[in-house]
Amino acid sequence: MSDGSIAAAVSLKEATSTGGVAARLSQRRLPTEEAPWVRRLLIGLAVGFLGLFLLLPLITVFMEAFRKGGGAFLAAFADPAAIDAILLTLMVAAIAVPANLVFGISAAWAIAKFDFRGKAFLVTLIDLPFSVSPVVAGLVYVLLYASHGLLGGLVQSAGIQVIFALPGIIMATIFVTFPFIARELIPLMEELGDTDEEAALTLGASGWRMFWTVTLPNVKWALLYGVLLCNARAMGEFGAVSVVSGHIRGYTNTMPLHIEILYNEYQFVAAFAVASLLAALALVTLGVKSWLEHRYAGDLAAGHRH
Amino acid sequence: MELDIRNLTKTFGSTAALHGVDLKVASGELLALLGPSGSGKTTLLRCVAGLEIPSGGQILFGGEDASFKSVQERQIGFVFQHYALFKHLTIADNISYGLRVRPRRTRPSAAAISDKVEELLALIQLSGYGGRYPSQLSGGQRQRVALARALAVEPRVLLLDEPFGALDAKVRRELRLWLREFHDRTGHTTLFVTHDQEEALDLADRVVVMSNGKIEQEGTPEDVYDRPATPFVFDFIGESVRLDVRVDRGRPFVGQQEVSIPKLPPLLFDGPAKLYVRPEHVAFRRDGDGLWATVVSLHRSGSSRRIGFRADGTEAVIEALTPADREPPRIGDRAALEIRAAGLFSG
Repeated sequence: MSDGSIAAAVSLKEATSTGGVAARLSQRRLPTEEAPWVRRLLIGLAVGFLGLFLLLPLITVFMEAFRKGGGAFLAAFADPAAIDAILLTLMVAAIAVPANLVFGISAAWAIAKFDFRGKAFLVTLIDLPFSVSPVVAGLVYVLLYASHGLLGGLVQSAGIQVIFALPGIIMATIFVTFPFIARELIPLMEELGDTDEEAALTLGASGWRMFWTVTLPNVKWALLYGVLLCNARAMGEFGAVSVVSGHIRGYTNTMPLHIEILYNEYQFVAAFAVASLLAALALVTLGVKSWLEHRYAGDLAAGHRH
Repeated sequence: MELDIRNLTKTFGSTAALHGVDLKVASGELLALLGPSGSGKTTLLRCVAGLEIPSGGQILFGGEDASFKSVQERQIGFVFQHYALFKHLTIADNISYGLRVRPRRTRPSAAAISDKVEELLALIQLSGYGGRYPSQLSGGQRQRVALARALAVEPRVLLLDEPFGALDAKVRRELRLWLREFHDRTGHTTLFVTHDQEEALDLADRVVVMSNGKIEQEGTPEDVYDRPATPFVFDFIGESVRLDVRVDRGRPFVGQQEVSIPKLPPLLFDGPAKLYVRPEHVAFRRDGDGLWATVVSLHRSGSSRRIGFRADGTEAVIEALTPADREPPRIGDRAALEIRAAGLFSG
């Protein structure tokens, strides 16, 4: 856009003196600008790829869900197992997300505000769930908490069933979704530095008061953004949860697991109906996220203006 | 409230930022800590505030040891270089922040707080801006808000860390004059850190020049400018050229020529020395007695002209400052220099 207007301004200025030079100048490309055919090719490739691999499957989910009409779609949600799966998913998210909210803020605070030995290692460790396959994460929890596992005896003697039960599902979900909030906060908190906090302290605020009135408002948009991403992943997680849940219908089946079971039992419409609900939740998250990004960008820019 | 800093040291890891600093600040004084970056001036200020914990020494507020008091207990007002206003709060809420975070027993009533805010807004000439947000204000206005916010809690000492550092030159000068006036009216004991000598000399009652974690000189602006105590102060404050000289039986020589400098204390050493001369202290004549030299450069800057002279028999160039409207000599002209004041240091 701005390249075009600069070119236009240049050619306009030239036109007043020598018309021929102006015409030739206006045909010149800026050194950073590609030839039109290269531009078209790149845009075409990107759009085609996205359509084929992302948009088409998404549309298919909804088409399959409604293939036999609204009645069949709704019937999928009349199944008590489906209701249980939805409730379990909501419950897992309701516990895992706040847990990661607290852990994420603590980790970001520790990394952004303090220097300590092993800080680089901690930063890398936070990224571990991004790089490790969720199935591996699930298996590790099974190894640790199954009756013969390292900590299995301990939790069993306390009367807590972890594997093939709710605690295991929640722990696996927390593991997989850990980085989302911390990763959002760390760069922002590092950039903001401590001066706002120091100002609050010199004005007599206690540490706790400072956190609520200065630190948290400064990062609220990033935090909300992280929570949304964390929530989307918590509700959609399949691999890790699949390993630790044991697929007990109506008891340890989350929505993604329920969808897989329905699909394996050839109940395609029901499977896609539940899948469409999950996809709809993801789309809502995406919508709110884009809105936040818009908001959050303005907020950050305001902070940078001097 | 007077301040007494005794033998204050601070080390970060293995590097020392402050080496045993002693400093007394009188009640109501406006004191500048002046030095290049890394001289320890900001560290000293932050130690006084309680934002840094000293490695040794004492800080006394009005005779009472505050070394082990927390930032909150010290009741200081601190103004940061980049304002550090809370950008999600309005100007009024920023100013009243320190009052609103007080425990209920000592917190003023909502009406008293809003009166205080209005009073401070008037004091910083921003009445009617209370409902705006920091991003809607200019840099100079924001720094005034930061000052009002610091004053709202009625601090015992006001500490300013490069308060004009982020502002452009014109606003800087205006705000400097304003701060001086403001200080004369309110009379807070104030310490401010700056690396800008003009600012320090212009504004402060007393200037403390620091370098490498030590105090080089403290005194009135006249003292540090007219009678620099160390080579560092000569170099750092004002303009000066440095000449290699030789002291022989108590008399300084540039090359083979003796230079006479009035008001120089008796020299108690012989051998090589460094002479520091300010351009405005050099006068030249076409004849008569003085340090004979040749004009080697002419340079017009604004309302004055600087003329470089090379002293006979040496490579040393001495600069003189003359009004631009005075007829300048030509390159290659000979002249006798008179040095009206200078500093001489052994080594």
